[in-house]
Amino acid sequence: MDLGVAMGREVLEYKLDHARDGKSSEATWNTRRLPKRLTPGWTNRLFVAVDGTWRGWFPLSGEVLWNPEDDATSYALIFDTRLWTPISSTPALRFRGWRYATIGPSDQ
Amino acid sequence: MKPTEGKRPASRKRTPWILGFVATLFLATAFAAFLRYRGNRGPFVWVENQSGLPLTGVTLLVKGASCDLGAMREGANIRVRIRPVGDSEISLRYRTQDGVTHDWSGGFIQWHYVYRAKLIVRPDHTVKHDVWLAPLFAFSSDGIPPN
Repeated sequence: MDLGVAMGREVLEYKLDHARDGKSSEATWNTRRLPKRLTPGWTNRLFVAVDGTWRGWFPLSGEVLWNPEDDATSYALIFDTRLWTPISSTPALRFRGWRYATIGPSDQ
Repeated sequence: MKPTEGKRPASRKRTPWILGFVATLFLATAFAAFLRYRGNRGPFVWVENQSGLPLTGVTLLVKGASCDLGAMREGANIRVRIRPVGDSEISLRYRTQDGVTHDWSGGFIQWHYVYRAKLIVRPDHTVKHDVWLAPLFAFSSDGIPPN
């Protein structure tokens, strides 16, 4: 399953730096909604749009992090920052939070 | 017969014992590292539907908060990692096709010592509840970093 999120350019750079520092390959993306169509394991993809353009994707875990003590953003998507895969820039509609993505290599 | 005949040199005798010690130390360290790795990622709850029927409105409840897992077909499973929340009750609620709501409460879990909790909904609508403990390392209590 493919999900899409919109990040600021600095945030994407921060996430990629996260992988370079060698401390942890996993990063999270907080959200209010729990995606229910993820498949088990690292079989999902998290596409990232920056400034209205899809830029690439990270492998996305089938597990979602849940913090029962956080009312505002209880969930977090877990993705692997080491395996960033850039794609040729494709226009993306503006949206908030995450959405199921229809972009992929076959759509390019 | 010479006194030393039939005896192995002392250094040879010790070799297997030392190898065994080193191997045990290595395995113990590797296992501890694994627990540490899992611990830093947070314990997870595994919910599996083995009721023989599709379920709807599956909701996991921890410490008064609910995690809406939605519908689960027969045989489906969902894993959710949990930020440790101290000692808390864990409950599961779901509906069957006939509209009946089923509630299950598994008592208290000390999340800081749990590596995995597995909840399996069985055909008689009891819930099999297993907990794997990771007693050596406390889980990270850091909050989720901002986006």
